[in-house]
Amino acid sequence: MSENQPSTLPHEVIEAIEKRLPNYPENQKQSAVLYALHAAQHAQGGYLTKELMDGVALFLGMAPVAVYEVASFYSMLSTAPVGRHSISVCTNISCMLRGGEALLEALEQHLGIRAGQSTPDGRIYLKLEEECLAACCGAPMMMVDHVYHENLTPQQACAIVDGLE
Amino acid sequence: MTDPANTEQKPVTPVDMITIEVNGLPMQARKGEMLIAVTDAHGLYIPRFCYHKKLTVAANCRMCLVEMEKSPKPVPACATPVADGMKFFTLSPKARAAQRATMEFLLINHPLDCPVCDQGGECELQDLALEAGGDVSRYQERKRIIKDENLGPLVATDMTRCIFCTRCVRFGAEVDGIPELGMLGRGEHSRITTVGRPLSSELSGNIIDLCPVGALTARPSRFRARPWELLAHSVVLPHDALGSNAFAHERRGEIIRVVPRDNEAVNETWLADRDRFSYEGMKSLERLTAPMAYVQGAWREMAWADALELAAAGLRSVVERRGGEALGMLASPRGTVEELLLMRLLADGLGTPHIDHRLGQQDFRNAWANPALSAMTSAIPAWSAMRAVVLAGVNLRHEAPLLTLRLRKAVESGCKVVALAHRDVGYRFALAQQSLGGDLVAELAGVARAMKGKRRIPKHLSALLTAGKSTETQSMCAELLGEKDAGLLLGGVAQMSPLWCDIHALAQQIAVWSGAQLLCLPQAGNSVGARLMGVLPDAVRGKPWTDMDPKGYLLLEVAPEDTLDAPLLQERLRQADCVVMLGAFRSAALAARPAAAEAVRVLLPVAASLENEGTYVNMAGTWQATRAGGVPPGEARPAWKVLRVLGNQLGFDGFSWNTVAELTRAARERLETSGQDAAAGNLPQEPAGAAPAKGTKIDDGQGIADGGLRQVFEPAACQTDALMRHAPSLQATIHARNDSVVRIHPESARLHGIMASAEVEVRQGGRAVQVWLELDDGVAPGVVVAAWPGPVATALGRSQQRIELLALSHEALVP
Repeated sequence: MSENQPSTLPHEVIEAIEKRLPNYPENQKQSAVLYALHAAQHAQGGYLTKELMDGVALFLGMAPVAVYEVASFYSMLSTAPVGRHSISVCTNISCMLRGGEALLEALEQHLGIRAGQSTPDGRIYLKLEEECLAACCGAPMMMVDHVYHENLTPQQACAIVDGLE
Repeated sequence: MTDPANTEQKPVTPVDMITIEVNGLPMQARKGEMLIAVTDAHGLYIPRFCYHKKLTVAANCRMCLVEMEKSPKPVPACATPVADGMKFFTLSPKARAAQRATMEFLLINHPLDCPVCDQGGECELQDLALEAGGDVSRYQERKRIIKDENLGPLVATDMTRCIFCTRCVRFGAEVDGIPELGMLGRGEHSRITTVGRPLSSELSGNIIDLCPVGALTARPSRFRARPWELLAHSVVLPHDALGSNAFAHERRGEIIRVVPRDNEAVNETWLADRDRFSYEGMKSLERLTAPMAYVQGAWREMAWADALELAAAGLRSVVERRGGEALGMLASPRGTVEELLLMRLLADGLGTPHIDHRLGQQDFRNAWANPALSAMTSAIPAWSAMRAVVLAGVNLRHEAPLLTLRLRKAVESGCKVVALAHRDVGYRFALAQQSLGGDLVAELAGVARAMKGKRRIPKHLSALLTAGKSTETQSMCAELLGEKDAGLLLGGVAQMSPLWCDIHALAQQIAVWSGAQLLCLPQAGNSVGARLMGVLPDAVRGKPWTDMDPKGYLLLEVAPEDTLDAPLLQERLRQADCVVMLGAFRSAALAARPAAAEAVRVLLPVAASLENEGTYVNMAGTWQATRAGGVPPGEARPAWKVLRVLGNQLGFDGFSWNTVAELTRAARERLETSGQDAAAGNLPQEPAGAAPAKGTKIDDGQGIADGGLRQVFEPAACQTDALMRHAPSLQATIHARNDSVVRIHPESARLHGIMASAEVEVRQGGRAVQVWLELDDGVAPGVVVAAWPGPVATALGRSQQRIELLALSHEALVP
């Protein structure tokens, strides 16, 4: 019975969550789930394993499936191994009208992977269907490791990606 | 409370009642009620998928969009609270356009495979698409597909059909208590899934009813029939003391499936899985389809007339040779009131004082310790309004799964529940405290002692209420039970105990001292009816089922495994000169060769519960009529007809009823003349000071102190009655598997040299059984928990006996 087992979370993750818990009411520990998953992902090579998510669920007194729901919903959280650099190409309406889909297709061809996949060398992770990143005035755009690149052409986008280690 | 004189002056409408207008018609509503609830109450239908009266509002399907006056946009009826004077239009062009647009979006990814979908014909999406769907799809792109899940043997999935209403997700999170299904992913990549785990809830079948499309369907009845071919019969299910209401859906005499019938006072709108899927047992090949008799050393089928004559002759000869005292009668507490009345009358006619239905009890020192007496006045909905509840010796998840939902509701609104238990059964609500002592007499004595104060101890309890200190949990129970709306619930584990009468006496004293309601949960769907019909041994001359050792037996749907001591009854049946058994199923024990060659054995095939017409009395004392949902196979006949003709054969007066209704009337009259009626509040009361007779001291909780082990039976999840035991899908669930193992605490196992879960032999006196032993740290120390009825209980018999464990393989010895 998983309910009776001790938490499988690494020590530093538990410490990080515990530091955050006083921010929330005592009986609403689950409010810390986003932060907890973020800390767990950060501590363990950039993605969440089932064990980590179960650990978070147990620690915060949540049903495991409720934690999976959160982890799979937010694009900042990954539930499978991904590349070092995270590329998000916006294909939402403003970017779509200004060539965002062509941008994504060019990157896919250039890298030889589909959106949602990582390059085999573990360098680049192309995120699946990124939603609007609130840079419509600079459409089309992409985000590389939390840095915005706006008014892009496919060539520019490929050049930026090539410049990553 | 206002002065009654004043209220007369006030307007009839209470303050929070308002009037709204829908489609030009005025509607009375409570202020703040959601529009869809108001229109539903007034019989006006607004399309919906995600809204369900028993679940929270999600407002995610957008199907219930309607036009509201002064609102530029249409509003969702399920999430719009009403205020006085609001005007809505549910059929206006604007509302229709919004609903049509929603439907177009919903159908984008829906496969539209209605001809091969099991939901076809009763699908909410199909029905509403007819009303609000377009004739031509404008969507040209590829549809998304979703892989199916394996949710176990009861629920089949076609997740591509899912429209993400999240009713199934909310059922798990809000009603059942543990979310098992969740919505993973986002947007177009969303999917409803359990992430690879099969469903573990004992109420999982309800998501089939909740699913408005064909994504979740009932696996056992899948592709068996179309809904328009089915006839619905109102039935009552006697598998637990609630007597859940349902419809049996029948086609040409065969029950295809069972679905819940709303009854707020009993099962609300839910059904437990074992209520829903037990019907499969009726199609079992083990059904008795023709009368059979043991003649000249072999079993033979015979005609009804011959079989009944043989049965009557056999019973008559026992009575003539040895008197009525030589006859014993056992009746299933799941028989109808009408059948039980006939059993009572046959006992009177045959002159036997030995008749019983309390097959799950072994301590009969005090005849007043009858669960039916406390249960009959306990309204089921009241349990969701309790403020404090002590669960003693009960596995409510097995004994009354739907009562756990009531308790969960109470806990949600602040009720504190304490469990005094033999093991942690994993309730889906938070327990304020749990004590895994396993010795109920000691626990309840501790509770009584904590609340005694300066009160005098009644004489009959002086031996039980010795001086001592109460534990923290016991003191907590005492305090909680003193609150308003508190309840003490004693379940099957307590009732099966060899010290049941002591437990009952203590509980009764606790109820008197604290004012808390005492509920001894009846063990079966008509235990109360059996009590009312007097299917109990004569107060002076009669013996309970454990003590009677008659030469002749008349059994109504009782096999050895239905009793608490199967080996004992089996041996007595073997030795008896005459056994007449009315049953729906073959039983290996009954088919066994009798000890004497000239002995009479007659098996009379009768209808199973869902094929039967009659009345069940549930734990609240409510008489619930059930209709025949299907036709019994072969020569099988309803038991009331068989018993009636048997009465004729024996030449008794008055056995002339022609319909069930006549018998029901006779049963009512019998109660009126004897003055026992729960509704009228004149139940027989235990005479003051009726002390439980001093019984033999039984080898009880001492096992823990000297390091010995004892077994504890708890009511099984899926073996409760023969019908359930023969239902294949139910028997393939994890619950049925759990019924077949025994559990022990790892520490207690280690003391007996067992280091890992493994196959063991359990020995109890001269009896033994080989079984899988599971280490479970939720079990009380010093006990081994087994399900009753179940393979272990059948082999060993009697709850709470001293046992020994013997490892059968090397793996048990290695940690």
